[in-house]
This record gives sequence, structure tokens and C-alpha cells, in this order.
Amino acid sequence: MTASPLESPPLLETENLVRVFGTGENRVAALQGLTFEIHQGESVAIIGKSGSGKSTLMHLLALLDQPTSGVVAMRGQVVSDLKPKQIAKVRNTTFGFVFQQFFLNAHETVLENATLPLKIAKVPKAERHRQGTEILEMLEMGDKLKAKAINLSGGQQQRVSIARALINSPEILFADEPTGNLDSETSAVVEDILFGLNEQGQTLIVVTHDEDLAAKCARQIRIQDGQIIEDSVVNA
Amino acid sequence: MKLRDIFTTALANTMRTKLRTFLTVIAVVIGAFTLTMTSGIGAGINKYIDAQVDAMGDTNQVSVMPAQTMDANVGLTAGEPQEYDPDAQGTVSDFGIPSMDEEDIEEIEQIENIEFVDPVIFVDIEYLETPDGTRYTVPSAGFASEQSMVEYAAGGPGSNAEDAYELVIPTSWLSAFDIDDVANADDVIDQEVIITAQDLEGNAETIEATVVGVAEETITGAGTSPIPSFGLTQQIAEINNTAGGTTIPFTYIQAMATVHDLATNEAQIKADLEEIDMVGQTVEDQMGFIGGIIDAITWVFNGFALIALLAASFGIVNTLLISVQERTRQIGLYKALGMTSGKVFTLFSTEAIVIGLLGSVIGIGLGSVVGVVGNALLINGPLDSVPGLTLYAIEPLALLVIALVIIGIAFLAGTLPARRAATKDPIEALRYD
Ligand SMILES: Nc1ncnc2c1ncn2[C@@H]1O[C@H](COP(=O)(O)OP(=O)(O)OP(=O)(O)O)[C@@H](O)[C@H]1O
Ligand SMILES: [Mg+2]
Repeated sequence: MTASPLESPPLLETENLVRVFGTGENRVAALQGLTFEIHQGESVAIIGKSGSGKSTLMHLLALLDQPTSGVVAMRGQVVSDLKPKQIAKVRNTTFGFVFQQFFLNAHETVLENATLPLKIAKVPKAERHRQGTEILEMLEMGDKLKAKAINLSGGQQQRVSIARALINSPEILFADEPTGNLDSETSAVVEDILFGLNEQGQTLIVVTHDEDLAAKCARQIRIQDGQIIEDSVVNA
Repeated sequence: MKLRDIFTTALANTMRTKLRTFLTVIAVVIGAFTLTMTSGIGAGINKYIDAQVDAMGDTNQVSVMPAQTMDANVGLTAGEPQEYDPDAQGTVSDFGIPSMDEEDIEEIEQIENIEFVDPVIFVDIEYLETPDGTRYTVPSAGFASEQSMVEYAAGGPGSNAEDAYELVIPTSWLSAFDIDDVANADDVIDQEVIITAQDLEGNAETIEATVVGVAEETITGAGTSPIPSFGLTQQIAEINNTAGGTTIPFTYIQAMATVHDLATNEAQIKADLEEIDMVGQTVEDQMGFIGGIIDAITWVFNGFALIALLAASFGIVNTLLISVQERTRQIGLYKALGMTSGKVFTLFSTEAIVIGLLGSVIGIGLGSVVGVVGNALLINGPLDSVPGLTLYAIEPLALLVIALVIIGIAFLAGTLPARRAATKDPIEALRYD
């Protein structure tokens, strides 16, 4: 299923990726020179202890942040060469994000939150609602469509944030601890959805410190202190 | 995001912090209200003046004065004593105001297209006796030329013939003829009255005069007292200025010239008058002056309103800056999910526009209601003696301009916070607490 790296440029690749936060005493080198490739259709788990740099790496791969030095390229195209508008478009239509802190708009409804990427993409309201309802029902949130996000439990919020990430049928899904707040049963539902989509060709990049979830991915990249200490293909 | 979505999102965001929005909007409302009131009052009064000018639209009269009257230092000529010159006599008289004599009047009469010159003469009527024998005082008789400036409830202006002794009375004088209703004003026409005037020695002389018209009162004050015709005025003046068979030559501070087709000949008449050191003013010239003053006052108040709006715009800046601060995360999320900086800018500018729109709609609505109701209360209440008065008029175009100006100011105020929102870095914004 994975395209050969020799045939086409990898979906995402990094070269000597460095991200430093702050200066002087506050200086933190979150990523210290990472080089790897991710191909279309892969499922990749980024694992590591808290503070090891997982979220930082995900943000860089997702074009949300700029590296201090080094390169991120998408399909062979160096990302820093892209115009802000092009990057915005890629984020809106090609990527899906599940943020570690969900970042829902507290005063908007579940449906409004889940369909925000479609709203940004100028999809008409009726169509937004149709797609949003469908995906929220899949995540067992069908009875909460009109509820305000602020009134949801942590697990429910997480599912809304997953619905929002999937709503634009992204080619690449970035998920930062997507099951962190879910009970085992709901976790299973979410995992089924994520890996089901991956089987249909969607590239999945999961940040987690849940070894069980990581083990379900075809590839694990283990990070420690901003460096890759292991890059293994388990389920190959 | 579609424009409609941007607008509804902006509206929802502004409505989320109702109190804050309300307070910000109030400042805008004050500005909008003031602008609506002042422009409405200006429009109303100007409309009234226009109506008054239109009412005498058929007048072909030009008021003529010596040119020096227009000089600021008339009557205050300080400095060296002037040697007596018999020819210069008559150029300065009544209370130091330059005046005209018969010769001047004849000169004016000779100007092309001037049909008739009616010098303004102050006459002193002792009393007016109605057919039932009652005598009424006439504190200040009108000028003959006013006869063609007023509107008539009945009859019309008297003739300009020297031997026609005719009189126009105001509607308020109908009661002296036992007529209680203006609708019956016609009954007074052709009634004979006796006018008594004193000569310089205090001897009373009487003239019989015929009532020919009933005048409505106007803003200029014309038509508020009885107006003798040209011939009657001359006759009374002659009595007033006679002592023992000798009549003092008249001097006039002003004359009303009737012009053939004033609309086409105005420039020529004015130029010819200038040549003989006279100034001619049409009714429009004089009224236009009042209109100019009203416009100036209107603009002063508009200036205050704009200052209020300037203050309001800082309120908008402040409110939106707080809003941008509070919603840093939301902005980060929008950008992370692919919203362009341009759209973020538009979103926040739209919030400013929403505030401007709310403020102008409320302020203009309130101003219009207060203006219309206040106008109705005043002209039907304390001011109902002024016929046809309007103090407030709604001019849709002016209101639209006011709304656009306010929305424009709100938009400008919004650009600073909107720029701040647009340039936020998504990750920084998302991490913001
Ligand atoms: N914007 C920032 N400014 C300063 N330091 C930062 C910033 N973002 C991350 N860091 C630091 O970089 C390091 C890596 O952080 P990151 O969020 O990537 O960790 P993580 O692996 O995702 O941890 P967790 O599992 O707890 O989510 C941490 O030491 C963190 O404090
Ligand atoms: Mg993290």
C-alpha cells in the first residue's frame, strides 16, 4: 500500500529539523535536528515522555509553526517557499488536526465547532450541517448536536475535536493524544474510525504516550529530549 | 469564509459580550443622534425658509439701498469734520444711516426693466376706525411693498396708483371687523375704514381707505400689521411731514423696485444699481443669508457630533482590542484551520462595522423620532402661531450619509485591532492563556 520512496517524493520529509524556544536563560531546544520521511498512507505514532517535543514536532509537520532551522517539505516542495495563503489552504483542505487541548469555541454548538473547517472553506450551511451531523453521529455525539461546547465532558469535547479534524476528509490526519480523555469503549470507537480511514489511504500521524495505541500504528518514532531515539516499523 | 458567515459570526461575537457592546454602542448612538438632530433641524428650518421664499416666488421685487449702508462703519464716521456741501446733503440722514431722496428714486426708476419704485416710508397712523365706529391704534403700519410679499387669505394686494387709498389687513385684525373665522375673511373685502394721521403740528387729518386684502403672517414679519397701499402711504406720509402748509422733502433708507422678469434681468439690474452707488437685493438674497446662518449653526453642531464620534471611535478601538485579546485562542484556531490573515482582518473589521451599524441605526432612529415628535409638539404647541413652521425634516439621503460616515469611522477604528488579530501567529495564539 505504501508508495515506494523511489517513485515519488515522500508526502512529508524533514531535514535536520531544529526548534528552539526562548532566549538566554529561558532557552529550550525542543527539537534538536530531526531527519525522517513519512509516506502517503502510513500510520505513524510519535511517542515520548512529556516534554520530549512531540507536540512541537507535530506542529512543524502540520505547517502551524516554523522551524528555527532545517527544512520541512511536502511532496518535495519546501514549505517555507509557500505563500501564507497556500499554507492556509493546505491546512484547511489537506490536513486535519486533533489538538491536545481540543480548542473548541466554548460558546458555539457541537455542530458549529465540528463544521468550522467547512465554514472557513465556504461550504454552504445546509451542506455543513449534513456532513457535521453524519460524522458526529459516527462518533456517538448525534444527541449533542445543539449543545454548547462548554457544557460537554472532556471525552465529549475530544470527540467533537476529532469530528472537526475529520470533517474535511483530510489526506493527513494529525492527532495529538486523540484518546487521552476517552474510556476504553469510546477509545475503541475512535481508533476504529482512525485506522479505518488509514486503511482507505489516509495518512495518520498520532502523538501519544499510550503504548497500546502506538502499537496499533505501522510505524513508531520515539523521541527523547528532542531527538529521535528509535524509528521502527512493527506491523509491517 | 463566506461574507455572510463572516457577518453572522461577527454579529454573534459582538452579541456575546452584550454589556460591553452596549456601552460601546451608546457612545456611537450619541454621535449619531446629534448628527441626526442637527441635520434634521437644519433641513427643517431651511425647508421652511424655502417654502416662505417659494410662497412669494412670483415677487419681482428688489430691495434697493445706498451702497454705503453695507459699510460696517456707517454712523460711526469718526475723524475730521467735513465741510458742508449742499449737493452731498441727503446722502446721510436718518440715525446716521445713509438714505435716498426723490432724485435717487427717480434715478432708480430710469434703470432699464424697472417698472415701479416704491420707497419704504415710515408712516405714523394715529388710529384706524372700523365701520362700526371703534377706533384701533396702529403701532407700526406695514410697508406698501409688503403687499406683494404676503399670501392672501382673502382679496389681494392694493393697486400702485397714487390716488388709490387701499389697505391690506392681517388675519389677526379680522376680529376688529367682527369676523371670528378666517374662512369668512372675504366679508371684510371692500369695507371702508377711516385712517387718521397727525401732521407735525399735531392736527389730525382723516383719509378714507378700502380694505382690499387679508394677509397671512409670514416669517419675515410681513403681514403682521395693516399694510397701506402705495397711494395711501404717500398720502399719510404727506400729512405726517407737513406743518402749516409746508411739506418736508422725504428721505428713504430703502426702496422696493419692481422689476420686469426678475429671473432674467437680475444681473443687469444689480449692475445698473451698482453704477449709481446702490445695492439691490432680491428676496432670495435676503433669505439665503438666513439660510447661510442656519447652515453655519448646523455645521457647528455637526462638529460637536463628530467630536463625540471621535471619542466613540476610541471606545470601539478599546472594546475590540480587549476582544482580540480575549479571543486570541479563537483566532489561533481559525488560522490553524486555514483561515487567511485577510479573512481574520475582515472578521474583526466587520465587528467594528456591526458596532457602527448598531449605533447609527439606534441613534438615527432615536434622533428621527425625537425630531418628528418634538417638531409636532412645538409647532402645535408653543409655536403654533407661526404658520407653516417646520423645525425638523427627515432627509433620507442625509440620514444615509450619516450612517455611512459613522460606519466608516467605526471601520477605521476597527482596523487597528483587526490588524493585531490578523497578524497573530497560530501556535502562539493557541498556547495563549
Ligand atoms: N511556545 C513555547 N515556548 C517555550 N517553550 C515551549 C513552547 N512550546 C513548547 N515548549 C517547550 O518545548 C518542550 C517540548 O514541548 P512539547 O509541547 O513539544 O512536549 P510534548 O512532548 O508534547 O509533551 P506532552 O506529552 O506533555 O504534551 C517543552 O520543554 C516545552 O516546555
Ligand atoms: Mg504535547
